[in-house]
Amino acid sequence: MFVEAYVPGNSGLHRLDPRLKIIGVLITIGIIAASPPRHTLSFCAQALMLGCLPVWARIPFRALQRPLLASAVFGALAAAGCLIGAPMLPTLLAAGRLALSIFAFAIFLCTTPFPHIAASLQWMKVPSVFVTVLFLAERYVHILENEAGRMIRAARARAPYPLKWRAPRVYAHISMGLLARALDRSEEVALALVSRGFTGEFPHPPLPRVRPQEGIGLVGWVTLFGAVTWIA
Amino acid sequence: MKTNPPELHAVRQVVIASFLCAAGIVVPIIFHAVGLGRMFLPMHLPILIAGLVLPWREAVVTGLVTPWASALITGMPPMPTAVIMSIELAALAGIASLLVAARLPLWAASLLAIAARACVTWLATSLLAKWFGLPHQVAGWAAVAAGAPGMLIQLVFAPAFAGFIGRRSLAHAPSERT
Repeated sequence: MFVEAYVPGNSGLHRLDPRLKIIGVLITIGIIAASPPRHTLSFCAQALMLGCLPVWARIPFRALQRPLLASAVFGALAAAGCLIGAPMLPTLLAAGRLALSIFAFAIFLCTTPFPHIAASLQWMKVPSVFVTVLFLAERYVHILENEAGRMIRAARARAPYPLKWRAPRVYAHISMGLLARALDRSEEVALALVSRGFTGEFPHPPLPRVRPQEGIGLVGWVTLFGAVTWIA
Repeated sequence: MKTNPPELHAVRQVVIASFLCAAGIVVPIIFHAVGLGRMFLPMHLPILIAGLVLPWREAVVTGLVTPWASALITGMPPMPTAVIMSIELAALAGIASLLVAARLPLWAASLLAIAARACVTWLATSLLAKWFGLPHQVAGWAAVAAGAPGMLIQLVFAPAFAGFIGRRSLAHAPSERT
């Protein structure tokens, strides 16, 4: 049921320091958002450069399929805009730029394991309550996923025929049961955490020093991406 | 009556926030599995419950973090949607929590929080669409209208659920609210 975004690998993009990747993806999305609105060539150059990254990192297409399908919403919105008289090329390019931003973020997620992201956010001085909730939620999401799986299997076992039109009701029931179980379990988990000396903040292992070649690589990517955006 | 030590109280709130955040990731997966995702706003339900059972700081953090946690772990919602959702869910949870703290009934707090969330959705979507050059008049209203059935479900289930679990005994005593 649960699909994790991270795709294990050993490419240069996988090995790049997660802090640099966060900075890199933010700058890349910033450049995409700030690029000239009517330049098709600039958009194509950006798409080509970003398209090379999954090939280099050996990310299978199916890992990027869902975010790309989700960006179809923006395509539909652009089409609706064109129907009510918005200029066609800039509107479609705007939807394309949004899809490219989603694509860039999806590549980042596919190449960075979640604990590295949490540790980097803590290093970046993001308030500890945010990082703690993020970190604990990542642990509990797997517990709740298992609970939901058990409840779905039980519901299917109880129904000797396909759920069909009853499905929404059954799944709503499962969702509410899941929420009740989550709250029940949180009481026990809090007691267990406090008894083990947890004070509300997770100690993350120190991140390794950023190697110079990693920094140079990031600057090179940003410069090249910016250059093709405005020169094209 | 015996009171809990303060560290247990603080940790319990963080853990409840984390579990509701996790539920905010898993419940949409269940809804999307049967094709009911976008219309029923499944991520909003745990966050509204967080607003009804937690103090406002933890509620706002839960609302802000959940779309990003979901985006970082599962890749969904995609990045621009996660930005909008984190703003609207923080508003939903924060306003619900403040209204409950102001002693409004759970259903009234839910209704006002959902209405405020719809305004935030309209504003945030319109601004983002305008920034990216998409038709912002359509985008704002489409985003609000698409979730109308979900708003009804939240209005029915969230207050009932929060009342059922007995928020005062679960999260904190009323005098402890800040």
